[in-house]
Amino acid sequence: MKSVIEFANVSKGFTVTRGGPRDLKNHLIKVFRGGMFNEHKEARQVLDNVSFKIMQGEFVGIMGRNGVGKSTMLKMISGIYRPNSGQIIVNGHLAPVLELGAGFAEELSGYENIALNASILGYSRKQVADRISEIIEFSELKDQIYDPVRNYSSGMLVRLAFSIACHLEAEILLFDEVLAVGDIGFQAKCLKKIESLHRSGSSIILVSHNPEQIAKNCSRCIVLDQGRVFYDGPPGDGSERYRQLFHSSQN
Amino acid sequence: MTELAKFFSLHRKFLLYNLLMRNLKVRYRKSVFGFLWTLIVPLTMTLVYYFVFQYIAKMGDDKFAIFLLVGVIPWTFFSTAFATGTDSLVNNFGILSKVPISATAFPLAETCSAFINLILSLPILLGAALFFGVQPALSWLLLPLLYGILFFITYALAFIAAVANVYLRDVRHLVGIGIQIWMYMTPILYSAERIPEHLRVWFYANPFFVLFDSFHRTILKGEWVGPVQFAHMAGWMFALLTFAFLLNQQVRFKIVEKI
Repeated sequence: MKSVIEFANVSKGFTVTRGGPRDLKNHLIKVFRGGMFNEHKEARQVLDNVSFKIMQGEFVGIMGRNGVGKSTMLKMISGIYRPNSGQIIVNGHLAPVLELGAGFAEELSGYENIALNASILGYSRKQVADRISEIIEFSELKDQIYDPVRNYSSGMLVRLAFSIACHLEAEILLFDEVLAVGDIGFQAKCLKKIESLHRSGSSIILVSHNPEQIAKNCSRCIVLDQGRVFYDGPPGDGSERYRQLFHSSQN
Repeated sequence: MTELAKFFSLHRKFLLYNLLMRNLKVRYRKSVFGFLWTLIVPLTMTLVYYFVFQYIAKMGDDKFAIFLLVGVIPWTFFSTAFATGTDSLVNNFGILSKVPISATAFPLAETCSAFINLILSLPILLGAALFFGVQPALSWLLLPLLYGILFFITYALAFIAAVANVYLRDVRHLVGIGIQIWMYMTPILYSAERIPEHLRVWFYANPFFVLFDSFHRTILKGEWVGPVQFAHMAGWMFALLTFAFLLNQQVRFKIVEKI
Protein backbone atom coordinates (compact mmCIF):
# COMPACT_ATOMS: atom_id res chain seq x y z
CA MET A 1 0.00 0.00 0.00
CA LYS A 2 1.50 3.31 -0.98
CA SER A 3 0.95 6.57 0.80
CA VAL A 4 -0.72 9.32 -1.20
CA ILE A 5 -0.16 12.21 1.20
CA GLU A 6 2.60 12.63 3.73
CA PHE A 7 2.96 15.45 6.20
CA ALA A 8 6.30 15.48 7.99
CA ASN A 9 6.64 18.03 10.81
CA VAL A 10 4.67 20.63 8.90
CA SER A 11 4.24 24.06 10.46
CA LYS A 12 2.44 27.01 8.97
CA GLY A 13 1.86 30.49 10.28
CA PHE A 14 0.78 33.79 8.83
CA THR A 15 1.86 37.32 9.51
CA VAL A 16 -1.22 39.39 9.99
CA THR A 17 -0.88 43.15 9.63
CA ARG A 18 -3.64 44.80 11.58
CA GLY A 19 -5.17 47.69 9.67
CA GLY A 20 -2.03 47.77 7.61
CA PRO A 21 -1.44 50.18 4.77
CA ARG A 22 -3.11 49.13 1.57
CA ASP A 23 -3.03 52.45 -0.23
CA LEU A 24 -0.51 55.19 -0.67
CA LYS A 25 -2.23 57.76 1.52
CA ASN A 26 -2.36 55.58 4.60
CA HIS A 27 1.13 54.39 3.90
CA LEU A 28 2.46 57.98 3.82
CA ILE A 29 0.56 58.89 6.97
CA LYS A 30 2.17 55.93 8.70
CA VAL A 31 5.61 56.90 7.50
CA PHE A 32 5.16 60.48 8.70
CA ARG A 33 4.06 59.29 12.10
CA GLY A 34 7.21 57.26 12.27
CA GLY A 35 5.13 54.14 12.41
CA MET A 36 6.59 52.44 9.43
CA PHE A 37 8.95 50.34 11.49
CA ASN A 38 6.72 49.50 14.40
CA GLU A 39 3.71 48.53 12.32
CA HIS A 40 1.44 46.26 14.27
CA LYS A 41 2.27 42.87 12.86
CA GLU A 42 1.19 39.71 14.50
CA ALA A 43 2.46 36.23 13.83
CA ARG A 44 -0.31 33.68 13.99
CA GLN A 45 0.69 30.05 14.13
CA VAL A 46 -1.92 27.85 12.48
CA LEU A 47 -0.37 24.41 12.20
CA ASP A 48 2.36 23.39 14.57
CA ASN A 49 4.55 20.43 13.74
CA VAL A 50 1.87 18.26 12.17
CA SER A 51 2.74 14.80 10.86
CA PHE A 52 0.57 12.08 9.36
CA LYS A 53 0.35 9.77 6.38
CA ILE A 54 -2.68 9.02 4.29
CA MET A 55 -2.61 5.74 2.41
CA GLN A 56 -4.10 4.93 -0.94
CA GLY A 57 -7.81 4.18 -0.81
CA GLU A 58 -8.46 5.76 2.57
CA PHE A 59 -11.49 7.93 3.22
CA VAL A 60 -10.33 10.41 5.81
CA GLY A 61 -12.60 12.79 7.63
CA ILE A 62 -11.04 15.90 9.15
CA MET A 63 -12.67 17.74 12.02
CA GLY A 64 -11.79 20.58 14.33
CA ARG A 65 -13.03 23.91 15.51
CA ASN A 66 -13.36 26.92 13.22
CA GLY A 67 -9.99 28.47 12.48
CA VAL A 68 -8.01 25.45 13.63
CA GLY A 69 -6.26 25.11 10.28
CA LYS A 70 -8.30 22.55 8.35
CA SER A 71 -8.57 24.69 5.25
CA THR A 72 -4.97 25.80 5.55
CA MET A 73 -4.00 22.14 5.60
CA LEU A 74 -6.00 21.41 2.46
CA LYS A 75 -4.53 24.47 0.77
CA MET A 76 -1.04 23.20 1.51
CA ILE A 77 -1.88 19.77 0.12
CA SER A 78 -3.19 21.51 -2.99
CA GLY A 79 -0.07 23.61 -3.35
CA ILE A 80 -1.81 26.95 -2.86
CA TYR A 81 0.17 27.61 0.33
CA ARG A 82 3.66 26.44 1.13
CA PRO A 83 4.54 25.31 4.65
CA ASN A 84 6.94 27.46 6.70
CA SER A 85 8.78 24.32 7.71
CA GLY A 86 8.44 20.59 7.28
CA GLN A 87 7.69 18.60 4.19
CA ILE A 88 4.57 17.67 2.28
CA ILE A 89 4.60 14.86 -0.27
CA VAL A 90 1.69 14.22 -2.59
CA ASN A 91 1.76 11.08 -4.72
CA GLY A 92 -0.80 11.01 -7.45
CA HIS A 93 -3.12 13.24 -9.40
CA LEU A 94 -4.96 15.53 -7.04
CA ALA A 95 -8.29 17.31 -7.45
CA PRO A 96 -8.99 19.82 -4.70
CA VAL A 97 -12.53 21.11 -4.21
CA LEU A 98 -12.00 23.79 -1.60
CA GLU A 99 -14.89 25.90 -2.71
CA LEU A 100 -18.00 25.07 -4.66
CA GLY A 101 -18.53 27.13 -7.76
CA ALA A 102 -15.14 28.85 -7.77
CA GLY A 103 -15.20 31.49 -10.48
CA PHE A 104 -18.89 31.22 -11.39
CA ALA A 105 -19.80 34.18 -13.58
CA GLU A 106 -23.26 35.50 -12.66
CA GLU A 107 -24.10 36.76 -16.13
CA LEU A 108 -23.46 33.40 -17.76
CA SER A 109 -25.88 30.50 -17.89
CA GLY A 110 -25.47 27.40 -15.76
CA TYR A 111 -24.47 25.55 -18.91
CA GLU A 112 -21.70 28.03 -19.74
CA ASN A 113 -20.51 28.00 -16.15
CA ILE A 114 -19.99 24.24 -16.26
CA ALA A 115 -17.10 24.55 -18.70
CA LEU A 116 -15.72 27.61 -16.90
CA ASN A 117 -15.80 26.11 -13.42
CA ALA A 118 -14.68 22.69 -14.64
CA SER A 119 -11.68 24.19 -16.43
CA ILE A 120 -10.77 26.09 -13.28
CA LEU A 121 -10.94 22.83 -11.30
CA GLY A 122 -8.62 21.24 -13.83
CA TYR A 123 -10.86 19.33 -16.25
CA SER A 124 -9.67 19.00 -19.83
CA ARG A 125 -11.88 19.88 -22.78
CA LYS A 126 -12.54 16.21 -23.47
CA GLN A 127 -13.45 15.42 -19.87
CA VAL A 128 -16.05 18.19 -19.90
CA ALA A 129 -17.48 17.05 -23.22
CA ASP A 130 -17.71 13.45 -21.95
CA ARG A 131 -19.43 14.35 -18.69
CA ILE A 132 -21.51 17.42 -19.34
CA SER A 133 -24.80 15.55 -19.74
CA GLU A 134 -24.10 13.53 -16.58
CA ILE A 135 -23.32 16.74 -14.71
CA ILE A 136 -26.56 18.39 -15.83
CA GLU A 137 -28.52 15.25 -14.96
CA PHE A 138 -26.96 15.05 -11.50
CA SER A 139 -27.70 18.72 -10.78
CA GLU A 140 -31.45 18.14 -11.38
CA LEU A 141 -31.60 21.59 -12.98
CA LYS A 142 -33.25 20.42 -16.21
CA ASP A 143 -34.06 23.37 -18.49
CA GLN A 144 -33.01 25.91 -15.91
CA ILE A 145 -29.44 25.01 -16.80
CA TYR A 146 -29.76 27.60 -19.60
CA ASP A 147 -30.79 30.41 -17.23
CA PRO A 148 -28.21 32.90 -16.03
CA VAL A 149 -26.69 31.76 -12.76
CA ARG A 150 -27.67 35.15 -11.30
CA ASN A 151 -31.27 33.94 -11.16
CA TYR A 152 -30.46 30.70 -9.31
CA SER A 153 -31.44 30.09 -5.73
CA SER A 154 -28.55 29.24 -3.42
CA GLY A 155 -29.71 25.63 -3.43
CA MET A 156 -29.60 25.46 -7.22
CA LEU A 157 -26.15 27.04 -7.26
CA VAL A 158 -24.85 24.45 -4.82
CA ARG A 159 -26.36 21.58 -6.78
CA LEU A 160 -24.73 22.72 -9.98
CA ALA A 161 -21.41 23.43 -8.31
CA PHE A 162 -21.29 20.09 -6.54
CA SER A 163 -22.29 18.21 -9.67
CA ILE A 164 -19.30 19.69 -11.48
CA ALA A 165 -16.94 19.00 -8.60
CA CYS A 166 -17.98 15.39 -7.99
CA HIS A 167 -17.50 14.35 -11.60
CA LEU A 168 -13.80 15.05 -11.38
CA GLU A 169 -11.79 11.91 -11.62
CA ALA A 170 -8.59 11.89 -9.64
CA GLU A 171 -6.53 9.61 -7.46
CA ILE A 172 -6.88 12.00 -4.54
CA LEU A 173 -9.93 14.16 -3.96
CA LEU A 174 -10.15 16.92 -1.35
CA PHE A 175 -13.51 18.29 -0.24
CA ASP A 176 -13.64 21.25 2.12
CA GLU A 177 -16.99 21.45 3.94
CA VAL A 178 -18.80 21.14 0.69
CA LEU A 179 -21.49 18.88 2.16
CA ALA A 180 -22.69 21.45 4.67
CA VAL A 181 -24.92 22.89 1.98
CA GLY A 182 -27.99 21.87 0.06
CA ASP A 183 -31.07 20.09 1.41
CA ILE A 184 -30.88 16.70 3.12
CA GLY A 185 -31.89 14.84 -0.01
CA PHE A 186 -29.16 16.35 -2.09
CA GLN A 187 -26.61 15.96 0.71
CA ALA A 188 -27.33 12.24 0.81
CA LYS A 189 -26.98 12.05 -2.95
CA CYS A 190 -23.63 13.88 -2.76
CA LEU A 191 -22.32 11.53 -0.10
CA LYS A 192 -23.37 8.53 -2.17
CA LYS A 193 -21.47 9.98 -5.11
CA ILE A 194 -18.36 10.53 -2.99
CA GLU A 195 -18.64 6.96 -1.71
CA SER A 196 -18.79 5.66 -5.25
CA LEU A 197 -15.67 7.66 -6.10
CA HIS A 198 -14.04 6.06 -3.07
CA ARG A 199 -15.10 2.58 -4.16
CA SER A 200 -13.66 3.16 -7.60
CA GLY A 201 -10.27 3.63 -5.96
CA SER A 202 -9.85 7.32 -5.17
CA SER A 203 -8.45 8.43 -1.84
CA ILE A 204 -10.78 10.98 -0.28
CA ILE A 205 -10.18 13.69 2.27
CA LEU A 206 -13.30 15.36 3.57
CA VAL A 207 -13.53 18.26 5.98
CA SER A 208 -16.81 18.25 7.86
CA HIS A 209 -18.42 19.60 10.99
CA ASN A 210 -20.84 16.72 11.10
CA PRO A 211 -19.57 13.91 13.41
CA GLU A 212 -22.32 11.48 12.36
CA GLN A 213 -21.41 11.93 8.73
CA ILE A 214 -17.75 11.22 9.46
CA ALA A 215 -18.53 8.27 11.71
CA LYS A 216 -20.82 6.74 9.12
CA ASN A 217 -18.79 7.18 5.96
CA CYS A 218 -15.10 7.58 6.68
CA SER A 219 -12.51 4.89 7.25
CA ARG A 220 -10.43 7.17 9.42
CA CYS A 221 -10.75 10.44 11.23
CA ILE A 222 -8.28 13.17 12.12
CA VAL A 223 -9.24 15.80 14.68
CA LEU A 224 -7.17 18.96 14.82
CA ASP A 225 -6.95 21.14 17.88
CA GLN A 226 -4.68 24.07 18.70
CA GLY A 227 -2.59 23.52 15.62
CA ARG A 228 -1.85 19.88 16.33
CA VAL A 229 -3.26 16.47 15.58
CA PHE A 230 -5.52 15.90 18.58
CA TYR A 231 -6.86 12.54 17.49
CA ASP A 232 -6.07 10.18 14.61
CA GLY A 233 -7.86 6.87 14.34
CA PRO A 234 -11.19 5.12 13.79
CA PRO A 235 -13.95 7.58 12.94
CA GLY A 236 -16.39 6.45 15.65
CA ASP A 237 -14.05 7.37 18.50
CA GLY A 238 -12.90 10.45 16.58
CA SER A 239 -16.42 11.83 16.49
CA GLU A 240 -16.67 11.33 20.26
CA ARG A 241 -13.40 13.12 20.85
CA TYR A 242 -14.53 15.92 18.59
CA ARG A 243 -17.65 16.39 20.70
CA GLN A 244 -15.58 16.35 23.87
CA LEU A 245 -13.59 19.32 22.56
CA PHE A 246 -16.67 21.44 22.90
CA HIS A 247 -17.77 20.03 26.26
CA SER A 248 -14.37 20.67 27.80
CA SER A 249 -14.22 24.21 26.50
CA GLN A 250 -17.68 24.92 27.90
CA ASN A 251 -16.81 23.74 31.41
CA MET B 1 11.19 24.74 -20.31
CA THR B 2 8.11 23.58 -18.44
CA GLU B 3 8.34 26.64 -16.21
CA LEU B 4 8.33 28.77 -19.33
CA ALA B 5 5.34 26.89 -20.75
CA LYS B 6 3.52 27.45 -17.47
CA PHE B 7 4.29 31.16 -17.64
CA PHE B 8 2.19 31.23 -20.80
CA SER B 9 -0.41 28.81 -19.36
CA LEU B 10 0.32 26.33 -22.14
CA HIS B 11 -0.38 23.46 -19.75
CA ARG B 12 -3.85 24.88 -19.04
CA LYS B 13 -5.03 25.92 -22.50
CA PHE B 14 -8.63 24.89 -21.77
CA LEU B 15 -8.63 27.08 -18.68
CA LEU B 16 -7.20 29.99 -20.62
CA TYR B 17 -9.81 29.53 -23.32
CA ASN B 18 -12.65 29.51 -20.79
CA LEU B 19 -11.33 32.54 -18.92
CA LEU B 20 -11.05 34.58 -22.08
CA MET B 21 -14.48 33.46 -23.27
CA ARG B 22 -15.85 34.50 -19.90
CA ASN B 23 -14.26 37.94 -20.29
CA LEU B 24 -15.71 38.40 -23.76
CA LYS B 25 -19.17 37.07 -22.91
CA VAL B 26 -19.52 39.01 -19.67
CA ARG B 27 -18.36 42.18 -21.36
CA TYR B 28 -20.83 42.01 -24.23
CA ARG B 29 -23.83 40.20 -22.81
CA LYS B 30 -26.96 42.34 -22.77
CA SER B 31 -25.33 44.96 -24.94
CA VAL B 32 -26.82 45.74 -28.34
CA PHE B 33 -23.57 46.56 -30.09
CA GLY B 34 -21.50 43.89 -28.34
CA PHE B 35 -18.18 43.43 -30.04
CA LEU B 36 -18.75 46.59 -32.10
CA TRP B 37 -17.93 48.61 -28.99
CA THR B 38 -14.29 47.68 -29.35
CA LEU B 39 -14.45 49.38 -32.74
CA ILE B 40 -16.66 52.26 -31.72
CA VAL B 41 -14.25 53.35 -28.99
CA PRO B 42 -11.15 53.78 -31.22
CA LEU B 43 -13.27 55.20 -34.06
CA THR B 44 -14.77 57.84 -31.80
CA MET B 45 -11.39 58.73 -30.38
CA THR B 46 -10.00 58.96 -33.90
CA LEU B 47 -12.80 61.34 -34.91
CA VAL B 48 -12.09 63.57 -31.93
CA TYR B 49 -8.35 63.62 -32.53
CA TYR B 50 -8.96 64.23 -36.23
CA PHE B 51 -11.20 67.19 -35.53
CA VAL B 52 -8.81 68.72 -33.00
CA PHE B 53 -5.58 68.22 -34.88
CA GLN B 54 -6.79 68.65 -38.46
CA TYR B 55 -9.19 71.56 -38.09
CA ILE B 56 -8.00 73.39 -35.01
CA ALA B 57 -4.28 72.69 -34.74
CA LYS B 58 -4.03 72.23 -38.54
CA MET B 59 -1.13 69.81 -38.30
CA GLY B 60 -2.24 66.76 -40.28
CA ASP B 61 -1.89 65.94 -43.95
CA ASP B 62 -4.48 64.46 -46.33
CA LYS B 63 -4.10 60.93 -44.93
CA PHE B 64 -4.34 62.03 -41.31
CA ALA B 65 -7.53 60.11 -40.50
CA ILE B 66 -6.08 56.74 -41.46
CA PHE B 67 -2.76 57.71 -39.88
CA LEU B 68 -4.59 58.12 -36.57
CA LEU B 69 -6.52 54.89 -36.94
CA VAL B 70 -3.35 52.85 -37.52
CA GLY B 71 -2.06 53.89 -34.09
CA VAL B 72 -5.26 54.32 -32.11
CA ILE B 73 -6.56 50.77 -32.74
CA PRO B 74 -3.52 48.92 -31.31
CA TRP B 75 -3.30 51.49 -28.52
CA THR B 76 -6.90 50.76 -27.55
CA PHE B 77 -5.91 47.11 -27.32
CA PHE B 78 -2.96 47.94 -25.09
CA SER B 79 -4.85 50.30 -22.78
CA THR B 80 -7.74 47.86 -22.37
CA ALA B 81 -5.55 44.84 -21.71
CA PHE B 82 -3.18 46.75 -19.45
CA ALA B 83 -5.96 48.25 -17.33
CA THR B 84 -8.07 45.08 -17.01
CA GLY B 85 -4.95 42.94 -16.60
CA THR B 86 -3.77 45.12 -13.69
CA ASP B 87 -7.00 44.45 -11.83
CA SER B 88 -7.20 40.80 -12.74
CA LEU B 89 -5.29 39.26 -9.83
CA VAL B 90 -7.17 41.21 -7.19
CA ASN B 91 -10.49 40.62 -8.94
CA ASN B 92 -9.94 36.88 -9.19
CA PHE B 93 -8.74 36.43 -5.64
CA GLY B 94 -11.69 34.15 -4.96
CA ILE B 95 -10.34 31.67 -7.48
CA LEU B 96 -6.65 32.15 -6.70
CA SER B 97 -7.11 31.42 -3.00
CA LYS B 98 -9.18 28.27 -3.53
CA VAL B 99 -7.78 26.59 -6.61
CA PRO B 100 -4.15 25.90 -7.46
CA ILE B 101 -3.90 28.02 -10.59
CA SER B 102 -0.89 29.95 -11.81
CA ALA B 103 -1.49 33.66 -11.23
CA THR B 104 -0.22 34.39 -14.72
CA ALA B 105 -3.40 32.91 -16.23
CA PHE B 106 -5.52 35.93 -15.33
CA PRO B 107 -3.50 38.78 -16.86
CA LEU B 108 -2.85 36.48 -19.79
CA ALA B 109 -6.57 35.82 -20.31
CA GLU B 110 -7.28 39.56 -20.20
CA THR B 111 -4.55 40.21 -22.76
CA CYS B 112 -5.86 37.41 -24.98
CA SER B 113 -9.46 38.59 -24.94
CA ALA B 114 -8.43 42.14 -25.84
CA PHE B 115 -6.12 40.72 -28.50
CA ILE B 116 -8.98 38.82 -30.14
CA ASN B 117 -10.77 42.13 -30.57
CA LEU B 118 -7.62 43.62 -32.07
CA ILE B 119 -7.35 40.81 -34.61
CA LEU B 120 -11.03 41.12 -35.52
CA SER B 121 -10.55 44.82 -36.18
CA LEU B 122 -7.49 44.29 -38.39
CA PRO B 123 -9.45 43.61 -41.62
CA ILE B 124 -11.48 46.75 -40.94
CA LEU B 125 -8.31 48.76 -40.42
CA LEU B 126 -6.76 47.51 -43.65
CA GLY B 127 -10.05 48.01 -45.48
CA ALA B 128 -10.12 51.61 -44.26
CA ALA B 129 -6.52 52.05 -45.39
CA LEU B 130 -7.46 50.95 -48.93
CA PHE B 131 -10.52 53.19 -48.81
CA PHE B 132 -8.36 56.19 -47.94
CA GLY B 133 -6.14 55.45 -50.92
CA VAL B 134 -3.22 53.72 -49.21
CA GLN B 135 -1.39 51.39 -51.60
CA PRO B 136 -1.39 47.78 -50.36
CA ALA B 137 2.16 46.61 -49.85
CA LEU B 138 4.08 43.41 -49.13
CA SER B 139 5.27 44.98 -45.89
CA TRP B 140 1.76 44.38 -44.53
CA LEU B 141 2.91 40.80 -44.06
CA LEU B 142 4.99 42.09 -41.15
CA LEU B 143 1.86 42.99 -39.22
CA PRO B 144 1.42 39.60 -37.49
CA LEU B 145 4.97 39.91 -36.21
CA LEU B 146 4.45 43.48 -35.00
CA TYR B 147 1.13 42.59 -33.39
CA GLY B 148 2.81 39.59 -31.77
CA ILE B 149 5.46 41.83 -30.20
CA LEU B 150 2.70 44.17 -29.01
CA PHE B 151 0.89 41.20 -27.46
CA PHE B 152 3.89 39.94 -25.49
CA ILE B 153 4.96 43.39 -24.28
CA THR B 154 1.38 44.01 -23.13
CA TYR B 155 1.15 40.67 -21.33
CA ALA B 156 4.45 41.24 -19.53
CA LEU B 157 3.45 44.75 -18.43
CA ALA B 158 -0.04 43.64 -17.38
CA PHE B 159 1.39 40.83 -15.25
CA ILE B 160 3.97 43.09 -13.62
CA ALA B 161 1.35 45.75 -12.85
CA ALA B 162 -1.10 43.12 -11.59
CA VAL B 163 1.47 41.81 -9.10
CA ALA B 164 2.34 45.34 -7.99
CA ASN B 165 -1.38 46.00 -7.54
CA VAL B 166 -1.61 43.07 -5.14
CA TYR B 167 0.91 44.76 -2.85
CA LEU B 168 -0.32 48.33 -3.27
CA ARG B 169 -3.78 49.08 -4.58
CA ASP B 170 -2.70 52.50 -5.84
CA VAL B 171 -1.12 50.83 -8.82
CA ARG B 172 -4.41 50.59 -10.67
CA HIS B 173 -4.87 54.35 -10.40
CA LEU B 174 -1.30 54.99 -11.46
CA VAL B 175 -1.88 52.71 -14.44
CA GLY B 176 -4.96 54.75 -15.37
CA ILE B 177 -2.97 57.99 -15.43
CA GLY B 178 0.08 56.32 -16.90
CA ILE B 179 -1.83 55.07 -19.94
CA GLN B 180 -2.93 58.65 -20.72
CA ILE B 181 0.56 60.11 -20.48
CA TRP B 182 2.09 57.17 -22.28
CA MET B 183 -0.20 57.62 -25.25
CA TYR B 184 1.00 61.18 -25.78
CA MET B 185 4.61 60.03 -25.48
CA THR B 186 4.09 57.46 -28.22
CA PRO B 187 3.89 58.39 -31.92
CA ILE B 188 0.14 57.86 -32.32
CA LEU B 189 -1.25 61.35 -32.76
CA TYR B 190 1.91 62.57 -34.46
CA SER B 191 4.51 61.03 -36.69
CA ALA B 192 7.82 59.99 -35.14
CA GLU B 193 9.59 62.14 -37.74
CA ARG B 194 8.21 65.25 -36.08
CA ILE B 195 10.01 64.59 -32.83
CA PRO B 196 12.92 67.07 -32.54
CA GLU B 197 16.28 65.40 -33.05
CA HIS B 198 17.68 66.29 -29.62
CA LEU B 199 14.66 64.77 -27.87
CA ARG B 200 14.47 61.63 -29.95
CA VAL B 201 17.06 59.69 -27.96
CA TRP B 202 14.76 59.86 -24.92
CA PHE B 203 11.90 58.33 -26.84
CA TYR B 204 13.85 55.11 -27.28
CA ALA B 205 13.25 54.47 -23.59
CA ASN B 206 9.61 53.91 -24.55
CA PRO B 207 9.07 50.23 -25.49
CA PHE B 208 6.33 51.33 -27.90
CA PHE B 209 8.22 54.13 -29.67
CA VAL B 210 9.68 52.09 -32.51
CA LEU B 211 6.74 49.69 -32.56
CA PHE B 212 4.09 52.32 -33.21
CA ASP B 213 6.36 54.11 -35.66
CA SER B 214 6.65 50.77 -37.45
CA PHE B 215 2.86 50.41 -37.62
CA HIS B 216 2.75 53.68 -39.53
CA ARG B 217 5.67 52.83 -41.79
CA THR B 218 4.59 49.31 -42.73
CA ILE B 219 0.92 50.08 -43.29
CA LEU B 220 0.99 53.59 -44.74
CA LYS B 221 4.34 53.74 -46.51
CA GLY B 222 4.94 50.10 -47.38
CA GLU B 223 8.33 50.18 -45.65
CA TRP B 224 10.02 47.17 -44.10
CA VAL B 225 11.30 47.25 -40.55
CA GLY B 226 15.08 47.65 -40.41
CA PRO B 227 17.29 45.40 -38.25
CA VAL B 228 18.00 48.16 -35.74
CA GLN B 229 14.31 48.91 -35.31
CA PHE B 230 13.57 45.23 -34.99
CA ALA B 231 16.31 44.84 -32.37
CA HIS B 232 14.76 47.67 -30.35
CA MET B 233 11.31 46.10 -30.28
CA ALA B 234 12.49 42.53 -29.71
CA GLY B 235 14.95 43.73 -27.07
CA TRP B 236 12.20 45.44 -25.09
CA MET B 237 9.95 42.43 -25.49
CA PHE B 238 12.52 39.96 -24.18
CA ALA B 239 13.59 42.28 -21.37
CA LEU B 240 10.03 42.75 -20.13
CA LEU B 241 9.09 39.09 -20.52
CA THR B 242 12.23 38.01 -18.67
CA PHE B 243 11.50 40.44 -15.87
CA ALA B 244 7.90 39.26 -15.63
CA PHE B 245 8.98 35.61 -15.67
CA LEU B 246 11.53 36.12 -12.89
CA LEU B 247 9.01 38.16 -10.92
CA ASN B 248 6.55 35.27 -11.15
CA GLN B 249 9.18 32.84 -9.87
CA GLN B 250 9.70 35.16 -6.92
CA VAL B 251 6.14 35.93 -5.91
CA ARG B 252 3.93 33.08 -7.06
CA PHE B 253 3.51 31.60 -3.59
CA LYS B 254 3.34 34.97 -1.87
CA ILE B 255 0.54 36.51 -3.92
CA VAL B 256 -2.21 34.37 -2.41
CA GLU B 257 -1.18 35.24 1.12
CA LYS B 258 -0.79 38.93 0.31
CA ILE B 259 -4.02 39.92 -1.40
